[in-house]
Amino acid sequence: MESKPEPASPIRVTTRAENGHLLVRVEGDLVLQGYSPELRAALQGTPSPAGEVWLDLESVGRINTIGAAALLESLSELRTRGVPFRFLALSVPVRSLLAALPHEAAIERTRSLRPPPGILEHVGGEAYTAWEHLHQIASMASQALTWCCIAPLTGRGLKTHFVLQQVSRHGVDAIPIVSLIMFVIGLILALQADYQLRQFAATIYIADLVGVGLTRELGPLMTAVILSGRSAASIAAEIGTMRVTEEIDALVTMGMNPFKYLIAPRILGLIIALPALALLGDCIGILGGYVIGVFYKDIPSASYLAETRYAVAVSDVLTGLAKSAAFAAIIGLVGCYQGYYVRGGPQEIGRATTTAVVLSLFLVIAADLFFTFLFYLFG
Amino acid sequence: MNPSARDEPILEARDLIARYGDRTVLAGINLTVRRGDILTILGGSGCGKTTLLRHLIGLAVPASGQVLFLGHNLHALDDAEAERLRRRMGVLFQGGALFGSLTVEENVALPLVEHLGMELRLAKRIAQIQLSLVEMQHAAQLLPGELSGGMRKRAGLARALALDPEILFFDEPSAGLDPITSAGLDQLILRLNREMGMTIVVVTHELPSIFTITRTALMLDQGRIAASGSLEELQNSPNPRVRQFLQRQIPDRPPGSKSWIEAAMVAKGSADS
Repeated sequence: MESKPEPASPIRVTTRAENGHLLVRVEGDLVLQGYSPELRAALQGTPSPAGEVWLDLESVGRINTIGAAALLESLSELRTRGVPFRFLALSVPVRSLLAALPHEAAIERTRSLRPPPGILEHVGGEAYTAWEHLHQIASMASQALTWCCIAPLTGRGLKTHFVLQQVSRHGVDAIPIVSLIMFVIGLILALQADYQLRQFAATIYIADLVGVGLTRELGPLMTAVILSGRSAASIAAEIGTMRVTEEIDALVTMGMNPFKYLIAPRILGLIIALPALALLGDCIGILGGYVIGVFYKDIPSASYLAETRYAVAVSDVLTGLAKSAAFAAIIGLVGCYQGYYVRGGPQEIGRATTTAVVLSLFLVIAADLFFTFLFYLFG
Repeated sequence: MNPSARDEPILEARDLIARYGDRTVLAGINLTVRRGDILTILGGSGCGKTTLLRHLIGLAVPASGQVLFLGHNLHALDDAEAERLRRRMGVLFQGGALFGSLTVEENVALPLVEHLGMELRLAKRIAQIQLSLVEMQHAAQLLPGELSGGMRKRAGLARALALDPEILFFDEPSAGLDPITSAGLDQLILRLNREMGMTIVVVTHELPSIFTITRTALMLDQGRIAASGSLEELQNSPNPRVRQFLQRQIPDRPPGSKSWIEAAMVAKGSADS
C-alpha cells in the first residue's frame, strides 16, 4: 500500500544580527509545496556591507531539487551583491543534496560560456551568414546549369525518365487545380472588364482584355504562383528529408551525383511542365471569359472567338511562355536550394519548406516585374 | 587473395584536421586500414567519430591533411574520378538511407543499373541474390517505409554490397536496434569479413559490438586518438579514459578537489565565540 506523504511543514526564517555577521536560520521543509519567497526575501533584505551572512540550515527537514535550486539562486544573488556567506550548520538531507548538485561555479561557467553577442558581432554574424548563403546559391545555380544544360549536350548524361517523372508530378498532377483556378480567374477578369467596358458600350472588348491579359500576364503568373505553393514546397520537403535521412550522402558515396540524379531532373521537369501548364491555363482562362461573354453578356459566340483571335498575337503567347520558363527555373532552384542545405532535424525541414514557398513567390513576382518592364521598354 | 595483398594499406588518413567554424573536431588523426582488417572506431558521444567517418568516405573536406583511398587523395581528384573511386567503397548509414520512393529490390538494383549499365531485369535478379545474403529476400518488393529498423539496415547493407566494394563502412550499426537484431548484424559483419575477405570499418560505441567484431580498434577522445591497437592493448592502455570506456565506468572526480560546501562552512572555533 502506498502511504500518503506527510504534508510539508512550512518554512520559517528568522534573522538575527550577531557580532559581525547576520545569522539566518531556516526551519521547515525546502520543497515545492513549502517553497516560499521568505528565505529569498530574508537574504535579499540583508544590507550589503553588513559583513558575512551565516546560514543555519540544521533544522531543515526535507529538501528537494526545487528547494535546493531556490537556495542556490539566493546564494548566487548574495554573491553578485558582494555579500560573503557561510554555512553555520547543514542538516543531513541538505548537505547530501547540495553535494550531489553541480557546483554552483560550474553552473555559472556554463551560463557565461557564450555571452550574448554585441551589436557589431551580431551584424558581422548576419553578414557572414548572408555571404555564405549567396555563395551556396551561386554554387547551386552553377551546378544546376551544368547538369541541366551542359552535361546533357556533352553526353555526360541526363536522366530522362527522372525528368519525365517530375513532369508528371509537377505538371500532369497539377492540371486539375490549375484548370480550376484559371477558369475562375477568367470569369473574374471578364466580369471586371465588363464593369468598366459597359460604360462605353464596348462589351465585345471583354475578349481582348481577357485574351491579352491572360496570355501575357496572368496565365504565366498565376500558374507560377500555384506551383510556388505546390512544387517549391514539395521539392524542398522531399530533398530536405533526403538530406536528413542521409539519402543524399548515400547517393554521393555510391558515386551518383545528386545534381544529376535529384536537382537537374526537378528543375528541368518544372521548366517543361510550367510553360505547358501556363498554356493550358491561358486556354481555360479564355474559356472562362467566353462563358461570361457569351452566356451572360450575350455576345455571339463567333464574334467572341473572332475578337479573341484578332486580339491575341502569337508573340503575346510566346512572351508569356518565355516568362513561365524563367519562373519554373526560379521555383525549382529555390525549392532544391532550401531542401539541399537543410541541417538538423524535422523542424528544419518545416522551416525550409516555408522559406521555399515565400522566397519563390517573391522571386517569381519580382522576376515578373522585371520581364514586364523589359517588354514594356522594348516590346 | 594472396597473403601479400592482405596487409596492403587500403585507406589512410594523414594528419587529418577537421573544424566546424572555429571548433576543432579532429585534431590531427593518423590511421591506416589494411586489407582484410576490421577496424572499429570507438569513443563517447561527441568525440568526433562520425566526423572522422564522414572524412574517410569523402563526404566532408578536411581543414587540412589527407585521406588516401587506394593511394589516391580523395579530395584532390576531380568529381568524375572521385565518383569512380567511391563506387569501390560501400557505406551503411545509421538509418540505412534507403531511397524512400524505390522498393528494397530497386534500391539494391540502382547502383547496378546506373554504374554498370545493367538491364533492370537482370539487376533485379542480382539484387535478389544480394538480398538473400542478408536474409531479406522476402522483403524485396516492400518500400523502405514498411520495414523495421533492423530490416532497413540489412537492406542498406545489401545495397552497399551491390557493387562488390573493397571496403565497407558502418555508421553505428547497432544504434536503435534490439540486442538480438544487433548481435545478428555483428555476425553478418564477421561473416562478410571471413567469407568474402571484406575490409570493414565500423564506428560504434556499443560495448557488446566492440567486443564481438573488433580486430583492430582505435579510440577517439576529444578529437584525438586516445589509443589504438588490439582490444587487449586498449584494455591495458595507460590512458585511464580508455580503460574506463571499455569497463563502463564513470570518470572519477579529480582527486583533491574539495567540496565547495566544506569550503563555505563556518570554522568550528569561530561559531562558538
